[in-house]
Amino acid sequence: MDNSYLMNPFIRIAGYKSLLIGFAGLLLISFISYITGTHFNGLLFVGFAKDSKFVYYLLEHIIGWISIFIFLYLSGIILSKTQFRLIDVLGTSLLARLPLIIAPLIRLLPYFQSFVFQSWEMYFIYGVYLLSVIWTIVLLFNAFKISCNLKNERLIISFAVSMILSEITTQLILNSITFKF
Amino acid sequence: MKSSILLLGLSLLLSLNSFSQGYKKLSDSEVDKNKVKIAQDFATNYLTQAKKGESYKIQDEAIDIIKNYFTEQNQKLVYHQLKVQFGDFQSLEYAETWIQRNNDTMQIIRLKGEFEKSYKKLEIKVVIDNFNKIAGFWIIPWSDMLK
Amino acid sequence: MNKNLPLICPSCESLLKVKQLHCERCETEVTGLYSLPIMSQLAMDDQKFILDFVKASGSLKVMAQNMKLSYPTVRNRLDDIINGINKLERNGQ
Repeated sequence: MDNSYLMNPFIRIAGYKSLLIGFAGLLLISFISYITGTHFNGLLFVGFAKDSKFVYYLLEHIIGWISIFIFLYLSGIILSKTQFRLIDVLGTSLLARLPLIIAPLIRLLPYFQSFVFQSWEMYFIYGVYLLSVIWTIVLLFNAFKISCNLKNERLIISFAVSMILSEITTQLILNSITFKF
Repeated sequence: MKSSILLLGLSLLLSLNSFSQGYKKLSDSEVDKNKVKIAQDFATNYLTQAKKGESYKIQDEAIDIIKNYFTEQNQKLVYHQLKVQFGDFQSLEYAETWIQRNNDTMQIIRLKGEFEKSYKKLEIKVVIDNFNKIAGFWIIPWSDMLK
Repeated sequence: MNKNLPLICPSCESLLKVKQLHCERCETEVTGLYSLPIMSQLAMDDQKFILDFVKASGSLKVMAQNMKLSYPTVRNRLDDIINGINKLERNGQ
């Protein structure tokens, strides 16, 4: 399972290749997020609102990606004993976000375009989102593990700290620009 | 085994559906254009007048509670709060209409409003009763979920 | 048939040493007690990796292409082998 394409594609894909595929994915996710009105405020909060221009949905994904990249890269610099490449952390952390496309894709279905609070549509879409976030976190973990060659406690603790810090940073940046852009 | 799980899932989904769907979104052909126009005119008039620093004189388009609440002072206060947080009103457009399944005397008309400082559009929710009178009015951040 | 060089004693799990060498041509036999070179103490896969790495002129990029793996995967494998060699060197001292 750990070595499968679904859970750990980074055994075979990293560097520029992962950056290119990941970037194409980022544009696609941002576009589907825009047409379905799916906001990503970090990984923890998903919002359903067709209320902004495309650039804002794009920005949410770029800020989320760059923020996690910075913290993973810094953790790697501090803790890794190997000479890892920036492009691997940058590319794999972007490719790891691909599962986030699932919730916006489901919102293309008429049922999920606008719905009532606490309806089955709401619980279903939140459930799907939760699964896609878990998948993304597993991918991010494997991306970090392979890119920076960290193991055991160093890997687990630095990953958890990076995730928390990047989540806080993303929330702060997005909240500060929401009504002032 | 698989089909029974599927059946169980489907029945759960349907029961959840009937339980939670107290509201129904009207299709374009079901929408009462007259009600939409009343909602749009009311919201546009109030917001454009307030933007100019003036107050909107409510005629017979609203029920008494709304009329009594929407005094000159309250109109200014509401707009001031909006302006501080989201900037001046720019424009609005019609989005959708919902009705309550067990009470079709009221229609919820949802408009999307653009404000100067806000990157995100706001929801201008207008409730209109059977006599085509405005019975409710809210301005909140837009959500695709009806709350 | 490819026979793997046994490294660990099946009885007590200590590292094995060479006691006897044999010349297939003249049947000469040398008896003594020799430690295995570090390269030979590595797992067969690791030995093959090192040989391929040398043949690829020490390029991890070429290695990654040949093995159809990503660059960091190959580099991590090399790091593991380096760690293994360091450990063997420390144990040998």
